[in-house]
Amino acid sequence: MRRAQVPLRELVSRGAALAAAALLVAGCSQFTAVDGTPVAALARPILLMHRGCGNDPDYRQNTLECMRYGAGLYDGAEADLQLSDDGTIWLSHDNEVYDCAGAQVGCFQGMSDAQLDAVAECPDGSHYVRLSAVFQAFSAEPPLLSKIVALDVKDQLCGSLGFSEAKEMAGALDLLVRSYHMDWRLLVESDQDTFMDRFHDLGTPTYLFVEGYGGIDPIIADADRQHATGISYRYFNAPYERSLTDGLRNVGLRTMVWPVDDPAVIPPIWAMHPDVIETDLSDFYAYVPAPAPF
Amino acid sequence: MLVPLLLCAVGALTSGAAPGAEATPAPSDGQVAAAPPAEPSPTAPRPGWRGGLEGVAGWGYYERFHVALALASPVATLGVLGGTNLGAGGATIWSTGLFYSHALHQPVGIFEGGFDAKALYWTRSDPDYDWKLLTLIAGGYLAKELQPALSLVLDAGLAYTLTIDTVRKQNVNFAYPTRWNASVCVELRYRFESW
Repeated sequence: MRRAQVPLRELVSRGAALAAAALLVAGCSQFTAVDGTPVAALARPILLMHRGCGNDPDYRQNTLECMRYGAGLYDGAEADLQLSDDGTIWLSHDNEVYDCAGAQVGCFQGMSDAQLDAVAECPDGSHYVRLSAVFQAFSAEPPLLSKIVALDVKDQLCGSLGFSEAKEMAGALDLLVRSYHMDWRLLVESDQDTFMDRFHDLGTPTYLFVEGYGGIDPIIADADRQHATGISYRYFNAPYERSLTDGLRNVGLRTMVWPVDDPAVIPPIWAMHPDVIETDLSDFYAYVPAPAPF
Repeated sequence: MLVPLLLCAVGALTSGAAPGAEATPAPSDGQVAAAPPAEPSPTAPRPGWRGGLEGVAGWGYYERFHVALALASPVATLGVLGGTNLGAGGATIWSTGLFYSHALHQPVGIFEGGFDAKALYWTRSDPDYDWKLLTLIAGGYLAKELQPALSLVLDAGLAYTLTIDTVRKQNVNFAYPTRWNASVCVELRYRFESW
């Protein structure tokens, strides 16, 4: 049987329209320029204690006492976030959970809050704390009311790709921020698109910094795609040039650098004038002039 | 992506079926094959052409001005290309890559139609950045034989670009490759009689 032929004129018209549409779309540049609204430099960098209390041996990182100590020294403190199987946000750098004797007993995303409570308080002090307890302190205790909290959203990788956990983390964080009125006191660091997409959908009133561990150009690209406040990166992954931080502010991105622990690099990093610095040192201001509080 | 592309290409290149040619069932015992004589397709390769080498020249949104050599069967084409923008627009671009196209069984009106895929490695150097990039393109094409052995091909597809390496030379202008984009390409393909 002879196949039905498409009329020539119609075919040519369709083909031309298709080609024109393709060319129009292809007219979109192969490169996307970062061209956000410029933001002004702060009077000085915001200084935060990394992991709550840095390397101070008297405190256990990512606990409430540690956060109180670190925030008391500087402008605020940073903490790492994990999500329990019950959808509660806890503070910890690692996914793995250890009991009071130091034996691994599980993984955050595989453990309930009750199981975590069982290993949270130990004879040598608190090992794990809920983020809600930290927000309670920072929203009620007078010395902490003016302090900033940075939250590093860790990858949720216990036996899953972490997509659903990332969404759940965004929802849980949004609820806590609003419940404790922590609006615009939080700098949230993440490298998870799923988390950040949900975070945007919820309109959580915090500042978002896109985090990365390699070179900074992929982080700049992700930050622009996510319309983030800025980028968060290891300080040695870019030259210590004031023109970099100024240039990024001119295209609407702030910079957070971490962990600035080497005394030799503190002056040049400070002179670079990033917007936020995280350090593990308790004597950071021994290496640069102590500034006035904000 | 490249492995299935190559496997598919090898399989198609070693088959001899022309686009539009349906396989004729083998007659069973005692039956006489009564298949009607095949009507020549307006885009079908010349009778007797069983594949060979093609020379290609054209312009593509990601390929730029390019030339290519391809192994072709009546169904499929697998080739390598090299291209450049000749320094236009204040940037120097070089591209190289693999492409594969596969014809549909039926012509699209007066055209041969099919789908194609490309994997391009390309570099771009301009005053702001040096880039090394990988672009993967998947789409379709229409081809029209202009004269024996010479065809005009238009293809369009979806392009996905990954950054392999970046050197930023300044701190004023910041940019990144558009991850998803469209791509178009127009080419002349010449089929060599012998090789």
